[in-house]
This record gives sequence, C-alpha cells and structure tokens, in this order.
Amino acid sequence: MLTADAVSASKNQQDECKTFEEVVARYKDAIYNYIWRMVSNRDDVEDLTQEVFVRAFTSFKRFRHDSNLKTWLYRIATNLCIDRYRRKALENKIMRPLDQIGADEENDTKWSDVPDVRFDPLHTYERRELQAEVQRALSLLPGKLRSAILLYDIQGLTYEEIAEALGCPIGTVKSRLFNGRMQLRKLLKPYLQSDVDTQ
Amino acid sequence: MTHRLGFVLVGRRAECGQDKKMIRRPWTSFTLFLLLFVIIGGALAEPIDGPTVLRRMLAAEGTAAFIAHQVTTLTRGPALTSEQTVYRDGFRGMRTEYISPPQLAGEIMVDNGKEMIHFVPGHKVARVRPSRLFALKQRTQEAARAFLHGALDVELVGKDKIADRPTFVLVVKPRGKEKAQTRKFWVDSEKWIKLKTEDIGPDGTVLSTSYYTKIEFLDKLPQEKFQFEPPPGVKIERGPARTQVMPLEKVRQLVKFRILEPTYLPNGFKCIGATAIPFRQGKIVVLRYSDGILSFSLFQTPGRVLDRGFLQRLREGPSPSGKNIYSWRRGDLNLTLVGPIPLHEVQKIAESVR
Amino acid sequence: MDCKDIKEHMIDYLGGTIAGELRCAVEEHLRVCEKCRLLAKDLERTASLVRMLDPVPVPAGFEKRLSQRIVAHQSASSLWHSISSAIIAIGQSLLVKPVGRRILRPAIAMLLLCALIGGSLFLLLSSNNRVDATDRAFIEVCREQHMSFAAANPLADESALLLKERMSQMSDNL
Repeated sequence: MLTADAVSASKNQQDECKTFEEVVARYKDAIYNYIWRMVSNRDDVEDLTQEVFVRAFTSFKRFRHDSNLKTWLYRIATNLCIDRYRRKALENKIMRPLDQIGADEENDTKWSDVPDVRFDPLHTYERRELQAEVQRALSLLPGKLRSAILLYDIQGLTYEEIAEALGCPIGTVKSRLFNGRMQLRKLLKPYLQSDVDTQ
Repeated sequence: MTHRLGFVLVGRRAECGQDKKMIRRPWTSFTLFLLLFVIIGGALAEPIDGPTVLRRMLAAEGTAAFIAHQVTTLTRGPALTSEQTVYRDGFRGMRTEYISPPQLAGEIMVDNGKEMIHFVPGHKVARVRPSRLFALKQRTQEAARAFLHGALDVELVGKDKIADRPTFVLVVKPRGKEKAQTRKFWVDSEKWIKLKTEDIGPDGTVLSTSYYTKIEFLDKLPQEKFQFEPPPGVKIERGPARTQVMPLEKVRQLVKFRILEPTYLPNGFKCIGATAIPFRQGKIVVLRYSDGILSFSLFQTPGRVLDRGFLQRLREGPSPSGKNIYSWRRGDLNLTLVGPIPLHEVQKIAESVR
Repeated sequence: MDCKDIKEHMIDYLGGTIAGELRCAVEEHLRVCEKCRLLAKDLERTASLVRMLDPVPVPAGFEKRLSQRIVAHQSASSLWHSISSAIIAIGQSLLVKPVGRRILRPAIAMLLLCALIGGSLFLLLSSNNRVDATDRAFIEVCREQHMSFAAANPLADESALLLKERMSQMSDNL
C-alpha cells in the first residue's frame, strides 16, 4: 500500500506527480462513492471529489507521516461535505448544515416512524428498487451518523481509522454506528422482515 | 346471425296456430326492433381510423385509472434510461416514483390536479410546482381543437402489443411541414390509454421512448395516493401552483409594461395563450407557442426585477442561459426563450420581437 | 448482562470484535431475550442492506479534469506567490536606501492603489462570467414553467420531458 512516506519522500517534481497519479487511481473510486452516498445533491459529487485530491496534492509536503493516507483523504472528504452544506445552508437559508442536522438527535434513538410514501406496490421489490430505498434511508440520517455508517459498512474502515478520519474517539464511533443502524432499522422496517435474497 | 335468429322465431311462432296471434306480435316487434338496432348501430359505429383513435386517446386522459411500471429512454445526447412506477387517475391525480437511474432513485412527484409536489431524497425541502394535470386538462381540449382545425395529420399505421395488451399504432405530426418532429403512439385498443410513445426527429431518428412494461387498470385510486406526506424533517416549500393560460389581451391588463411579441415564428407554430407569474417585486409574462407537437415559451420581464450582473451579460442577440434556454435584452426588458428551437430560429424570433 | 449492557456491546458483537467471556455473556443474553435477539438480527440485516449497495462508477475523464484543475490551481498559487515576493522585495529595497525612504510612503500608496484597481477589475470580470444565485432562480422559474406547459400536452411524452429536465438541471449545476 502506498504510504505517505513513499509519496512525500520523492524529491523530484515529476516523480511526485507520478506517485500522486497512483494515489488518485487507487483512491478515486472509494472517495467518489463515499461522497456520492454522503451528499444529497448529485451535482456536487465530482466537484467535491476533485477538491479532495486538489487539497491532498497541495498539502502533501505538510502531510504528517504518522497519519494514514487513506484516513487523511476521508477526513478531507468529510470536512468538505460538511463545509459545502454549511455554506449552502447560509446562502439558501433553507437546509440545515450537514453537521448540524440531527446534532440534537444523535443520541436520541427515538425516531418517529417514517410514513411509507409508497403502498400497494405493483410487484415485489427488485434489487435496484431496494437499493433506492436504502439510499433514501441513508440520506435521511443525520450527517454524523451517515458518515460513520458509510465508512464502516461500505468503505470498510476500522474503528480506529474512522475515529482518525472523523476526529472523534473510538467510543463515539461505535455510538454513532449503533444509533445510525437503529434509525436505519426504523426507516427500512418493511425490508427487514423480507426473506427475499437480495444478493 | 341475429338476422337469421329473428326469422326462425317468426317462423316458429307462425306454426303454433291462430290462438297464438296475440303472443306472436310482441315477438315479431322485438325481432324487428333488434334488426333495426343492428343495422342502424352498424351504420353509426365509428370506423377505427387514426382520428377515432386519437379522439378516444384524448378522452381517456381524463378517465383512465391505473398503476403501471414505465421505462423511459432518451437516445439523443447522453443516452439515459429511467424506470418509474406511475399511478394515475384521470385528471384527479398522478404520482410518479423514480426507481432508477441512481441520480433520480427515490424522487417522487405527486400531482393532485391543483399542485404538484416534487420530493428529492436527502433534500430537506419538497417543492411545490405548477400542477401538470391542471394544465393537461386545458391542453387536452386545445389538442382536440388543433386536430379539428386541421393542424395535425393523424395516421393509423398498424397494430401491436405492449405490456401484453393489444394496441393501435398511431402517428401524429403537424400538418404542412415536410420535415417535422412526429410522435408515435401505441394506444390500448380497449382502454385507449397510450401505452408507448416515441418521439421521432425530423430526420426520422428516435429521440426518446416511453413504454409501460406492466399496467393494471382500476376503477379508481384512493385520493390519499395523490397527497404527499413529507418525511420527518422535510418541509414543503410553496410557490406558484396553478398558472392558467389565458388570452394575451387579458394578460396585458395584469402588467404595467408593454408586452412585446415576435412577428416571426418557425413554420407551423402559433401562439396558444399567455400567462403572468409573480416573480420577486414584479411579474414575468409568458407567451406560449406550439405546433401541436413541439412547444416553446417566451418569457419577458423588466430588467429591474433581475440581477444586475445577469443583465450586464445580456446583449441584443440571444445567448445561452442553459440547455435549450436563450436570453437577450430589448430596451429595458429581458426576454428568455425556453424550448427545443434551433439557435438560428431563436435569432430570427429575437430580431422580430416588437 | 441486561438489555442496556447488550446495546453497548452490540456493534462489537455484530462486527466480531469481541471474544472470550464477554462474547459468551452476550450470546447467552441473546439466547434468552427475544427482544434483543430480534434487535441484533435487524441491525445485522440493516448493515447487510447497506453493504449490498452497488458501487457508483466514477465518470469517465475524471482524472483528466482533475489534472487540469490541479494545474490551474498551481498556476494561480504561483502567480500570487510571485506577486507577493515582488512586493516584499520592492519594500525591502526601498527601506534600505536613504533616497528610498523619502519615496516610501508614496510608493506604498501607489502599490495599494494598483492592488485595489486590479482587485476590482478581477471581481468585475469574474462576476460577468458567473451565473450567480439570483440568475439561477430566474432561469429555474422559466425552465419549470416551460416544462409544466410542454409536458401538459397530451401529445407529448411527459416522462421523457421530465427526465430531460432533471438531467438539464443537473448538468447546468455542474
């Protein structure tokens, strides 16, 4: 695995660029998918993903050698998502910033039942319909819970890596995972009782 | 067949003898009446031709109730396919729930004939938009009139099966245009709903296709289906709901500025109405144009209502403000044209505005 | 172990990161408590539902666009770095020379004036090329109004128009 040491140690400008290309090739899918599932406005996804790598490129020299490159990229991505939506909330005065959404709800596992806006489905849910429902449920989670769930269940980071990426203790990571899954449980109730094989 | 049966009945009654004369007369009358009914009915029955299918298709817009799974494909520009579940009950309500592509998955549009609510997952606001059904009701009458006045050519080209249902295949295009955009409809031969629509460009290429893969007809759908309950944390943002198209003269009375009109229109287009919508501290006047198949809208509003930066950018000639959107300036008015009109035609329209 | 304790260890249990006596205690509780057993099953199922989400492909040309953006970003940074270095160098040379000290104040005033004019020109030029929020609001109103009208034609393919409209909105926002 590429480490920060390998990247920042290269003295030649051309070598550094070539190494950075490898960083982009290695992590672009993961970062893109993480941001895709984090933000509601699909138009922002590529812009935010590019911004992550632009910042990473310009900050390589200041990159702490004791940090994990992967968690560093996720940290930049998470902060960018939060900053972008905080700025949009100020402009539009409509949406609450990503990091404030559910700030008072994070520890409250009570969640009123989300009314099922579709009933009498025409046919059994196929895989893509189910995925749409799962994505919708994820988008309804508070930002802090959503980021923890995505990093653990989709991106496959460990508790320690998530704690480093989100800048919080490991205990908080586990608490967010638990609360996030509890809320998802309520949002996805009809699908939890199904015996349909979704794989 | 009824013909033959009638004669047999009359014949048999004749064999029963004189006493049965009183009974024989009602049966004879009934048979004759039946015969007349069949003959006259057959003469009056509409032949199944293009105009008949079109008329029934337009009438069914207001009456049919169904739930269906629909696939829509855009083949021009970046190819894209969407799948959605559609719930419809005439002009009373329509609900579309997107299943795919991922960018649209989970989006819901609910129209109750008065307003339409558009919900995008993850957004904390569900927006109210003008009701399409309300406008559809008006435009269905307009389409019927256009057809009656000979603005459209309608041809029945065959039969087919869509969603396991027999259909008539209909081609509709604006009359008098050699190369024009046309529409092809596959119309359910029992319920008269269009089960498939193809949009065909002037060069004959298919631009888009929509069809139902499954459809279930019902007597009625519950009204709750066309009401939107926002999920927790989601607000409904209200804006202008219904916008009624009215004669231009009526709109002139509603605004303080002099409304400009183009003297040049692309072949086959005519003005089918106008409307005025509130915007910031003023109003936007919208002129609507259609050739029966395609349509464009011309928006105009005094510059003081718009942002100075935007106005400074504008020139006397049209420049793009978005896909199929062109804006220009005429005096202190801003004009914006929205619709699938080529730039050279937009330029001619812009030059002709008085 | 009671239900409250189970909740504390649920994530670790489902993630397989506990072992030994603690794991046995959790399993024992789940064996006897139906409510917690159901909860564990549901939480595991929600996790598997999230894990089954298909990956989204990165749009083609992403790396090319990224490298263009990095180059542009580097150029802007280099320009600013050069300008600021030049200003500092001029300032230092003026401070050193005796003659320079007399013209120091007027020179600084001239530099500030140039910076002010340059900055204003830059903002003016960039604002003319930018469609800012209020433009978008107007264009969106026009687009929505037209779409409502166009899609209301019974001879139109409303679902295709709706799809085009959403795609246009997304590409305009890019």
